[in-house]
Amino acid sequence: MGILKKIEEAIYDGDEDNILDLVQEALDGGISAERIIAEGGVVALDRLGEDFNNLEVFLPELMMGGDCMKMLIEKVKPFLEAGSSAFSGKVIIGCAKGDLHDIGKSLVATELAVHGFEVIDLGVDVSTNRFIETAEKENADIIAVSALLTTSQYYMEELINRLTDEGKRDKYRIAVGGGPISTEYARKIGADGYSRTANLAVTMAKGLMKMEPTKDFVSVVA
Amino acid sequence: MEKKEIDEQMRERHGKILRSLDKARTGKHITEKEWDTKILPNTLKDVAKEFGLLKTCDIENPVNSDPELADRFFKAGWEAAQRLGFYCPDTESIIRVDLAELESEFKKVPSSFVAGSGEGERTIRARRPSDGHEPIFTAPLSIQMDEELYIPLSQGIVSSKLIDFQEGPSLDTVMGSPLLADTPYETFAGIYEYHLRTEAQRRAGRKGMGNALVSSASTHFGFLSGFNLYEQPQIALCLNPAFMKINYTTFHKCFVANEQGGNIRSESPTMIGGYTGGPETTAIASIATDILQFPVCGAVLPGSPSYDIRYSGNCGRHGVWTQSMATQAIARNSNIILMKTINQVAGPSDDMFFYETIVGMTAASASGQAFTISPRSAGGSKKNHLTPIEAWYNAAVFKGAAGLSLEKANEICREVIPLFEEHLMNPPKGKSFRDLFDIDTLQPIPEYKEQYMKMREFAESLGIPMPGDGVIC
Ligand code: B12
Repeated sequence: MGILKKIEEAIYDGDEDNILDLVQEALDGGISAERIIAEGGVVALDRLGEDFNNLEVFLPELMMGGDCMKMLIEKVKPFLEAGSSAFSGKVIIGCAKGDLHDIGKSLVATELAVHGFEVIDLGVDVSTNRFIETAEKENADIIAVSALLTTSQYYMEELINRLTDEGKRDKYRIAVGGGPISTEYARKIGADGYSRTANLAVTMAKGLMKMEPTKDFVSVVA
Repeated sequence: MEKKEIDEQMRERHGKILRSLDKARTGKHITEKEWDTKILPNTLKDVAKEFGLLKTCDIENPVNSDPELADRFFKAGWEAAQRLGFYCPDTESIIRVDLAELESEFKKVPSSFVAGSGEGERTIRARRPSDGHEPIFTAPLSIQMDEELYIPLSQGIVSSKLIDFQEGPSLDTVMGSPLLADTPYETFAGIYEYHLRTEAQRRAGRKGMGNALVSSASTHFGFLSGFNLYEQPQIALCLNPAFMKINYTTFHKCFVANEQGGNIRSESPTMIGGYTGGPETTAIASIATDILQFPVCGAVLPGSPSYDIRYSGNCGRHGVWTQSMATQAIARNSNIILMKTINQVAGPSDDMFFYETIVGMTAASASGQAFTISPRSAGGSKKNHLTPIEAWYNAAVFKGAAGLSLEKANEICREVIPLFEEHLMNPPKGKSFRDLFDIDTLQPIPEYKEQYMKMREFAESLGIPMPGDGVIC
């Protein structure tokens, strides 16, 4: 088995113990960082995604694959050619205040991590202050908020208003999602992006990275 | 009264919760991530393997009719309950229940309880698969409605005698102000909901009707303010933060419910494809969750449903198989009064909603569920997408399917699932209460009434005797 195939298998299996050695071996063998990411990592993650849709692998495997991919990217970062960046973007994600529904949020976080985003997951019941403080500290590109409760959905608008009032709105792209959220609602409160599912969130987040905050709007529903 | 006597009473009423809190406080520290991604999935996989259950899911036959298999699932669930216990995210530790405690608590699980008063009083009893006794139906789930629609919708729903108890709908504004989760608005919502609900039930002539409470309460605040306003006994909504987990919010509610003489209903869904893995391990996790509820928090009405993470519902093949297997396992091997929800994803006035209902409710009733709460039209997440008709239809199928054999239920599911399964991932959301009903007269528009009658006939043609709703038919 070639080394890139071995890396693919290690990511697919979430093999945190061996992934770094395998990447080192590939680098020693003169394989470029870009190829290691694309032909080792991404291929494995695409397989994981497809098998997840067919109920052949499940959320824990997906998460472990995402964690391994993060290790791979950190390792090859110094070897990337100037101009190409390791992560596709930095995302702060969490459930709005009062909301404990974390399944959809975790799936979105995992899908984004699996597709090369650096994701900081703040968990459930996240206050507006905490979203802003973390985004500032981490210099995030995207703040992604999940709400399944309409009573927590209010805090999405609060976040956008707070950022605007504090003159920080144009620093971050704001993505929203969850059961009661729609394209119309996302637009109405002045978010930058919305997607209906976790799969589609990857396309949305990539779209967001191509635009400046508040300058456009990305909605991916099918 | 002597302090000794007071303590004795308190121990009787609240001792179990205190003991669980003590265990949570002193239990071994484990991070939530380790629990979610390692301890839980690995234990479930090990247990499934040991009991020979992996790859037993048969999506061609969504309703199991092999009693031995259901019994093996029960044994696996019992084993998982013992090995795992409930995780408490507030203390980051595990509340374990050892074998001796599990066995002694299991003997004490009540097989019936009473809620409501006068004409509204109902006895909720455990059922077995293909049980001829009608199960109990509660409506609707906590679907958000405009404030001005709360009374008319509730009145419409409970005007049918098929509806035994009321749970939802829920509010997201209170007298025009936003009902912000985790704030004093919620405390007020618990009180406000009481007044709106009481009025709706009065208008429908349903004095004494029992309730599952509190619906408009995202955290414990609404519950703490609202639950004690009702004449007891009622059903207390003390949901877990996730399957195999319990938190301080649940315990806050349990103390109040116990003191008031309420009946605790506790659950949280397992997700096929989520942390619990595939259908078999997911069924085991649901069974284990249901077994642990009484020992950990004294719930008399548990029932962790199973949803398919790909579409957040359970009327497709994997969902029906998993949920009916877990139901049969409990119903055949215990006295637990089992409730589980059926999660439709299509909305009101779409044929798919009725098809999903036939599948979900028939499988549930025939498999031995004692109680359900429905509908969850449009996945429950589209505001105002709920009318009395979906509630009545659900109740009629659930009650009508009592006594059907598992083979017959399977045959019905096999016939109906192909009518909608390709739309599960992107379902039609249907229409709203205002679109489908005249709100003043509480009459459905003629087209919707016609569709309802046609769908009742369809269910009858499949072999489900549909009891009348007492309003339209
Ligand atoms: C599971 C569940 C629970 C579990 C949560 C367990 C957990 N740890 O997550 C428990 C039992 C704890 C629970 C409790 C409650 N729940 Co609840 N729950 C659900 C349920 C059944 C499924 C949600 C789910 O996990 N789906 C699976 C995931 C994969 O789907 P998803 O979350 O929609 O996410 C997808 C998309 O929306 C999107 N997405 C999600 N987030 C984001 C974020 C971004 C940025 C993007 C781009 C995309 C995106 O991608 C995801 C994957 O494709 C729904 C009903 C339903 N079928 O949706 C009700 C539901 C959400 N709950 C509801 C209610 C009312 C409650 C309670 C208030 C009930 C009560 N009175 O106690 C409490 C509130 C607790 C709290 N404070 O949060 C209502 C909400 C109504 C509303 N519109 O406000 C619903 C709709 C049910 C209903 N109407 O009957 N619930």
